Amino acid sequence: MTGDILARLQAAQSDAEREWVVMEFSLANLEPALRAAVWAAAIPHWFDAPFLAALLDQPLAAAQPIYDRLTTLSYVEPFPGRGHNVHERTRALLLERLWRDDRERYLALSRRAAEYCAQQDQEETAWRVETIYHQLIGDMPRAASKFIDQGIDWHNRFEYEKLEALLRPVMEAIEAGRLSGSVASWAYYRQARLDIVYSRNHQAKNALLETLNTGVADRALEANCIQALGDVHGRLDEYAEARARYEEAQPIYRAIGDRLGEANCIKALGDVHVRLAEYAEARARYAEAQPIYRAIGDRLGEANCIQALGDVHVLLAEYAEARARYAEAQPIYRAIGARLGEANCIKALGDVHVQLSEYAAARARYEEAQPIYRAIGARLGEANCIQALGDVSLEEGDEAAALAAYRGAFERYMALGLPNAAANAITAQATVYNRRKEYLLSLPLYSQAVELASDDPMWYRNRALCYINLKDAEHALADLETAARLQPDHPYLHARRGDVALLQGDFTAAAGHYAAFVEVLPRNPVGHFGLARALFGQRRVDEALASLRRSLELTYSRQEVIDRLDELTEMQADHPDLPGIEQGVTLLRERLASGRRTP
Amino acid sequence: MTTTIADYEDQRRAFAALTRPDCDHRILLLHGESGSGKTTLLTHCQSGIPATARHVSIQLRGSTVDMAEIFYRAGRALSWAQLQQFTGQVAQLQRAASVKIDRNWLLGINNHISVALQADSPQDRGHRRAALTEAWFEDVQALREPFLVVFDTYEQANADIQEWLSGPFLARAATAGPLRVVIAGQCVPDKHNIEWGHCCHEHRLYGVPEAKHWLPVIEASGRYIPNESPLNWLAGVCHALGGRPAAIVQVIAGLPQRKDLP
Repeated sequence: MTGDILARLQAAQSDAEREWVVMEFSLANLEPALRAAVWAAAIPHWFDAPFLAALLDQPLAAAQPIYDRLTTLSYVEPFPGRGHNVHERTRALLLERLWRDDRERYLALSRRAAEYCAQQDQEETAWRVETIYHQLIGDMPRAASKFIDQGIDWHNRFEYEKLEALLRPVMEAIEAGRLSGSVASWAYYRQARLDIVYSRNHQAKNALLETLNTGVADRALEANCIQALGDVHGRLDEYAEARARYEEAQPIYRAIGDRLGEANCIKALGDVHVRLAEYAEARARYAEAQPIYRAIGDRLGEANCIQALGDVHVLLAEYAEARARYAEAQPIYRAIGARLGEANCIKALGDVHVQLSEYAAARARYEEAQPIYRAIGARLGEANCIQALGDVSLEEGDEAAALAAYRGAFERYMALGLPNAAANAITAQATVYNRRKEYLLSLPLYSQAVELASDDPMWYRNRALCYINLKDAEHALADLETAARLQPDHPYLHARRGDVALLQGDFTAAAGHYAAFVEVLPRNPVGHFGLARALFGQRRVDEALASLRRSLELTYSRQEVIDRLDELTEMQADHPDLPGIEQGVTLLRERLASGRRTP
Repeated sequence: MTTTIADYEDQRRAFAALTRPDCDHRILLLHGESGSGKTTLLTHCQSGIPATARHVSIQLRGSTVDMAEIFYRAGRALSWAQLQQFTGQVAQLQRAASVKIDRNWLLGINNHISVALQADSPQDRGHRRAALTEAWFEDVQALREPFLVVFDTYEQANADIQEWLSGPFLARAATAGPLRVVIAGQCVPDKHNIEWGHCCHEHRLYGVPEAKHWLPVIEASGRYIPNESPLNWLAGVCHALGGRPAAIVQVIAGLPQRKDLP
């Protein structure tokens, strides 16, 4: 036998085949009763003597000695608090063979397992999950609806760890081809929702696409899935895809009479327009969604639309109108007890004060919002307030207080397990040094952000900008390469590549990169300003000045104008021979002198 | 009882170093695919821990282990008297600050911890978890002897536990002198972490392909290889199975017993 196994191992063509040779060798050495028990024991995720007795349909007294023997096998391991289990890899191998060679026995064993589990304490998550799992595999009546309802219930109760415990074995069975249809649709969808909760956006996207691949029969689920896909694309800054998904989901919601779903899609389309700096379109979308929310009595949705309209006003530097909108939304939030929305409005009013350089008033607003966040346990909002207070301190010239606030926000984000927000708080510290143009002090902070959230390409792009400020094209390009590997199509890759090309004096390449950025985000001033610099470099003065004017038309922030003036002045110093830059500098100075906030 | 194990010498040394008072890499990550022998290695290493050293071993697979269970098991491995900040925080979160933390109250500590971590909103849950974590580490920081916590099957922990372990837990472990942590799994937390990466060793478990390392295991199992060149035969098996311990052990278990020799 031993000589035989070596020959068979050597003749086997794949690892899977070799594993089965070993398993067969192992099973052949067991007496028949024990061999049958191995197959049965592979069905559940754990077993003890009573569970094994149920699986073998034998009295406990008969099963006990078999169980005792079973636990001495090398591929059977203790399962804390429950008994034993067949080792993961061996179990997968046995189940694959049993499903392929004797499906009836597989189903019969699963039904026995389901019946045994159903008699255990269903309040205990492990038994509840195991019961549903075996009912699904055993193709028992109402198993699918039990699974779907349980998933919805745990998701709605924020009991994510229970939901994860339910999905894990079900996904394993789906991937092994043992479950499909509506169970697979709902499992992938629930998995995607969990991934969204934990900010695993790429996994969420894949799970949502898998949901759609299952051929979803339930139209509401299909619409929810497509809308969620839009949300994920938005989180990944894939705005064209996000827009397409919302536009795809909206008519499905309308067809099935789901007005809330429809309104949510319209509002989400507004959010996409905001991200693309298409403010007029965004405003139109919010104005379209608001009456739908009102008509169906969804006051929260209505208030969210009003607040979003306020946010658009802020982006357009229409501060009086923004203030009016927030003041309109705030009492609605208060009336429906939505304290988070109320606190968000107060914080947003603080943000308006910052834009108007009314720092004392801004501070008062943040200090008003902060305890509300704290009272409702919204630790994220509280941390955001602390960071905003840091911004106020920075504007007031108190760098020490700003840095202390940013550090405080960082610690809170970390405690909340939000590495991206923490990375943001770290780079806020870098802003302090950037303003002083002490980029060498900023660099380690950007590196910390990269280390904290190394799978997020944004931090590589941001560090690349720091390298560009340090005139280090080589490291900037290395970071941009990593960012492109993580997310190839992000518009800011064009902008940063344009910056590097400018640094290298390749004005033609720079113009190409900025033009690509402008094509994706035509209302974003960054691309137009970059293009203006590239065109100055190419001595195309009239076109450069036109791009600069376009950039100024789209710029609402004074600080941005100041930064651009610095950059253009620096370019003038580096390239004194280039014509037209002086005119550009004059344009920027005039804009600053006019104090005009809107074009 | 100490089990016989094939090779993994470096990993065993790294584990043994954890119980030394001067240990500077207090976090050990053992990373290997299914069947690479992680659990066997951990069982072997733990059987060699001196009886006086306090340690707790926690399997993260299945849905049985939540945060309350981890705190509870660690508390039992120490003593609740050494975790006064923690038990006080539990009582406070139960809105029972005036409660007397006596033996009777401690009898139900597992339930008290669960209740203290319970909240309707994820935000509130996060806040409670953070408060208990802070308190627990304050207590652990004050221990006079090393305390070793071993987590196995990290890949099967739920996302909450994984985020907590790889974030707040290890970040605090890096500064809590007496604490030693081992995390084993098919995936492990990313060692390139700015907060705790500096005091961490990661070992990959690639299997044990060398036949000579398996001879003591065969010897200890009381079996023999019925072949004219046992070492060559074993080398063939080890090679064919890519050194994967779980499969090699399965083959060894099928070898004839020495006691059955004529």
